[in-house]
Formats: sequence, structure tokens, C-alpha cells
Amino acid sequence: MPIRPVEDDLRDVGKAVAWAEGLVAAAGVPHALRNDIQVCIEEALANLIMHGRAESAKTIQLNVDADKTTALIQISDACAPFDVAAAPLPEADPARTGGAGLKLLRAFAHEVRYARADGRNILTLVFSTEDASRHALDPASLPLVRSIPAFAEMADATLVDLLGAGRLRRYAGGEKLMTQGDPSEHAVLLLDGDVAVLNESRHGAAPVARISAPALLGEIGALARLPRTASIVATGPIKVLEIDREPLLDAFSHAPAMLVSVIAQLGTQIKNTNTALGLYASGFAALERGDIEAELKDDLRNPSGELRNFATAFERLAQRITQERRTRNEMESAALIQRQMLPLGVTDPAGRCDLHAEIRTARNVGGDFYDMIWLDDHRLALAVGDVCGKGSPAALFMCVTVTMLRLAAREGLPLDEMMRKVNALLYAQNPSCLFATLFFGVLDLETRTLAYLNCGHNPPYVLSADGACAELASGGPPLGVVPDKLWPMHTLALKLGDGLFVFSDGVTEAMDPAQKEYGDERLANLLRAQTGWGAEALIQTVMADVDRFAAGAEQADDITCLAMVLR
Amino acid sequence: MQLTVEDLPNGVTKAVLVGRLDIDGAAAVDMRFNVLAGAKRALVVDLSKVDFVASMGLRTLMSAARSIASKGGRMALAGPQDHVLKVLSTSGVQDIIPVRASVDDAIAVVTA
Repeated sequence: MPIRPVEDDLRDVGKAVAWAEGLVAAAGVPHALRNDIQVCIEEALANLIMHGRAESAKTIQLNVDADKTTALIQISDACAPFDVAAAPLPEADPARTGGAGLKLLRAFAHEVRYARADGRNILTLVFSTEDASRHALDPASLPLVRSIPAFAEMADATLVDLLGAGRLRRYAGGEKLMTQGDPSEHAVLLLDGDVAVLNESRHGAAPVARISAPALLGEIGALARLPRTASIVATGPIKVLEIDREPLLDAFSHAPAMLVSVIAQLGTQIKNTNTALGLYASGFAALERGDIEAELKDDLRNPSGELRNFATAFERLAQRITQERRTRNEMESAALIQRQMLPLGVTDPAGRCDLHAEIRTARNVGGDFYDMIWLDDHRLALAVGDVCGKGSPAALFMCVTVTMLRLAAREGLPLDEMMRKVNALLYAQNPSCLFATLFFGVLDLETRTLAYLNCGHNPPYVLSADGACAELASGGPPLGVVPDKLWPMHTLALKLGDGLFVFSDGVTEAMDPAQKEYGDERLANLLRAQTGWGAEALIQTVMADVDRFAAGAEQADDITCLAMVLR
Repeated sequence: MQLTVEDLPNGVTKAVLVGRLDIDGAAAVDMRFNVLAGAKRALVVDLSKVDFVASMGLRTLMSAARSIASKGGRMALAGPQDHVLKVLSTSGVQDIIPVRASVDDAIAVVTA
């Protein structure tokens, strides 16, 4: 459907009318109708430009859709609500020189419909060579109508009478023919085009089916005086015959077979709904498992028989399942990468310290990492970090960071120079603007000194043999954020029995079911009470306490702990 | 939109409009038409070469007719094409300004 924005300026109206006239003429609409169309467009646009009130831009749009017999004109705008179809006409007054516009518009357009949607007025004008007041089905279209089961057995005379009582209507794509919950005033015989059936709830409008002409819609509601069970929206230009309840009942009294057919139709619909619900249930179960059998996928992709109406909804479900599975696979491989990068079971062969590290990944792969590498026989590098973001990009960034740290740590540079170099390299090759917080320390087991620096990571605790628990220095930006940075290097002298507890914010930011955070204080208090414990016991105590605190609340972030105790 | 004016015998003035009396057309002739209506007492507007009219164009015609009527003069429209006549009748303008098929018939109306 061609669309043209119209400026909020009377001088643009002539150009807009000429644009529409060009389209309508090219479609072969007869001249007499084309003049009426031009008059109506000028009236509608002039009315909006002169009288429409909008808080910001009116954003007027003109849409034209025409074929040889019918022109659908839609004019939409962001002005205050104004129902062109129902507004009272100004009284004829010789003294007045204006006010004729609305009258001309309503007289010339064969159908005038107004709708308000998404803060816009939508005016639909229909012009047709077929007379809307009279049933305009030529006998040639009877076979089409007869292909609808309800009309298959009906006598010619009854059918012609019934159709003769209908009103021929045309709708533009996007127009609503029926609104769920509204009283059912008439049935709709869809003669040309497609409609979407929407189920509207407070969760939004869900397309449940798509129906193509010929079809009879809303007849059960109209007969039984039920509210509309669903909304119906034209997906493109459509032609329908609206048939009121009375003639419908009249036709039934002459053709009981039609009643039977409607009941049969109802039965089929219930069966279809049950089958569709079954398929949905299987689909969602597959979604939960993250797995879908080929057969179920086939059923969703190519629904058979009447279930074809649900094809779009099924297709979306199938796509979602496939996508979910792909995401899951990606997550799993990212988790695998993450796990394989991290060293397991690092110990000190000389027995000078006790080491342990653990990582517990959240449901969606996070970017936590730790590292413990021997630089020589008495110097041990310890690292805990957290790459921002989740999924494969974060996992890959983590791999690069860990690898660079391992290589750089062996070059023998001072710690601050080494980190400056790693940061510059990470910054230079970082198209996704990822970054990593990092605690990095080198423990010299001969001198029992820890040289460390902190790149935006939460500060670790140093645990004294006498039960004290102190935060190490923190500060500085994470890695990969600024091009050049020298982080301050700190040195800490340790004693026998002292420990180091390095962790990620997944520990202190763990949530309980009431969304309260675990917090630094609880951790510090817990660590103070663990004097004399080994590294593994320390970590398991913390993990268990976090679990107790979370009380079943879902883990939102990776939880990483690294502990070292001198002995 | 073109407007040509011709003085006829018996104090009748003929105004010939040519083109589209749409928003742009009305804006183009409004001023001259008003001046004309203010000066004349018997005005015939030949619409035979007007291809299009909508309410903004009707306003030009209506305000001229009102101005002439206020001085006790008369105005008539002549020879509209079918689709223009449809606009004149649907809007009710036909009930206020006499519309005749030919210029001669319209002259008869304004000189009666």
C-alpha cells in the first residue's frame, strides 16, 4: 500500500491529491469515481490541517490502495481524537461559507470508517464501482460461496435472498472487522482476501489463525448473541458481505442443513482447538527441554488440514525452539571454553601453601575466571577476574585475557608494567568494547610477600592467623577500558598461617528470595570465624553460606572463589 | 487557475474560471474574486472550464455571492460539468446560488 506523508500545510494538499489521483488513475478506477476521491482527500486533509490539534507534529499520512473497481484511501494522523464518520454535521446555514467539507466527504465516500489506534486517528474511505446498498454478487460467484460448508446444500433462492440482505464492505489491510468482546451484530462472509484472527488478552494480541476467502466468520456469535470470541483484522485489502442476524435466522429456518453444518463446524473447531493445544503443549515441553523431535517440528512447520489456520503461530513456536536450542548450544560451548581455560588441582609440591579455587557458573554463562600459575619454583601468580557480559563474546574475551596474562607474567616485567602492556593489547583488539575486572598477584613463597594490583575488581580479604580479616587495596579501572594505564602496585608481607581469599562479586551480590544482597559484611564475618582452616574448607564454607542465604533463589551471576593459606 | 472578467451589456459581468478550483486554485483567485464581488451587482460565473471543486473552492464562490447579495445584487453559476454539479448540489450550494446550464440562462437569472 503506497504511503505518502502530508505536510501540515495547505499548500501540500494539492500535491498529495495529485499523487493519489496518479495511483488511482493508473489502477484503472473510472473517472467519475476519481473526482469523488479527490474531493474527499482534499476535504479530509484540509480539515486536519486547519482544525486538527496535536501536541507535537501531526504526522499526517495518506495511503492509497486501488484496483479497477475499488479504491481504499486511508488518512492517519496524530491529532486529538476526531471521529470523521460520526461527528455531527454543521447545520446548513446560508450565512456560513465553510462546513461543507464533512458533508461532501460522507456523501461521496461509499464507506467512511474511523478508528483510533496507537495514538492516531485512522480514517478509511472506500470507493467502489459496485453498489454497496445492493448485493453485488453476480451469479458467477455463487460457486465460491457454495464452497463454504454452511452454504453447500442451501437452495439457490434462499442463498440469493440471504446474500441480497448483506452489505458489501471493503476493508484496508490492518483494519479491524470485529473486536473481541463486542456484541455480535452480524456474520461476515469473507469474499476476497485474508484475515488474521487475534486473541486479545491483557498480555497483548496473539495471532491464532489466518483465514483466506471464501469463509463465513462470526456466524455462531451472531446467531447465539454471544460477544465476539476473537478479533478479526484484515491482513490486506479484503471484500466482505456483512449479514445481520435476522436474515441469517431466516435462512436457517429454510435450510436446517445449514444448522447441522454450523454445528459440525463448531465440533471441528473444538477438535482443532484441542489438537492445536496439544501441539502447543508438546512444543512448549520441547522448549523447556531445549530439544525438539523432528516429527514434532514437522507437525509445527506443516500443520495438516484445518490446523493450517494456526500455521503462523506454530511456525513462530518452532522457530523459537530452534533458536533456543542454538542459544543453549552456544552457551554450552562457551561454558566449555570457560571451564577448560581454568586450571584444576594446582598444588605446591613443596608444601608451603594450601591452594584451592572453585567457580560455579550461573545459568547463562558469565565471564568469571581464575588462574593459578607457577612462574618458577617459588613464585605463584594468582588471578581472579570477571569479564563483563555473557555468552560467547565474553567467554572468548576471557580466553584472550587469561592467555595474555599467562604470557606476560613470564616475561619478568614489574607487575605494573606487565599489566600496562596487557591492558594496551586488550584495548587495541576490542571491537565489542568488553572489559574485565581483575585481581592479579604474585606470591613469593620464599619471602612470603604478595605483590598485587587491582584493576577494578572487588578487593580480596587477607586473613591473619590471629583471626583478623582485612580488605586489600582496591581501585583503578578495569582492563580494556582506557588505552594506557599504570595501576599502582602494592606489596604485602605475610606470615605463616595467613590466608588470602579472592572472589568475584557473584558471592557478595548473591540475592535471597526477597532480593536482598549477601553483602561484604556477612562474608567478612564468616571468614573471621574460619581461622586455621584449609583453602578448600574455606571456600566450601563460603559457598554453603551463600546457598543458605539464597534459600533457593536463582543464581544470577557466576560465583568464583580462590583461597590460599600459607603453612 | 485562471480568472478572466468580461463586462456584458445590461450591467452584467461574466467571470470565467479555468482550471482546478482546489485549495491552490481558490488561493490564487480569492483576492480578485472578492474585489470583483465587491464592485459588481450582477455576476455570472462560467464554470464550464472548471475541472474540480471542493469545499475550499465553494467558499470562494459562497463569499462572493454573500458579498453581492448584501448590496442587493445577484450572482449565478453557469455550465458546471457533471462532477462539479454533483459537488454543488451535495454541499447545498446549489440551493443558495442559482446554477444554470448555460451562461445565457444564468444572465437571465441575474438580470431578472
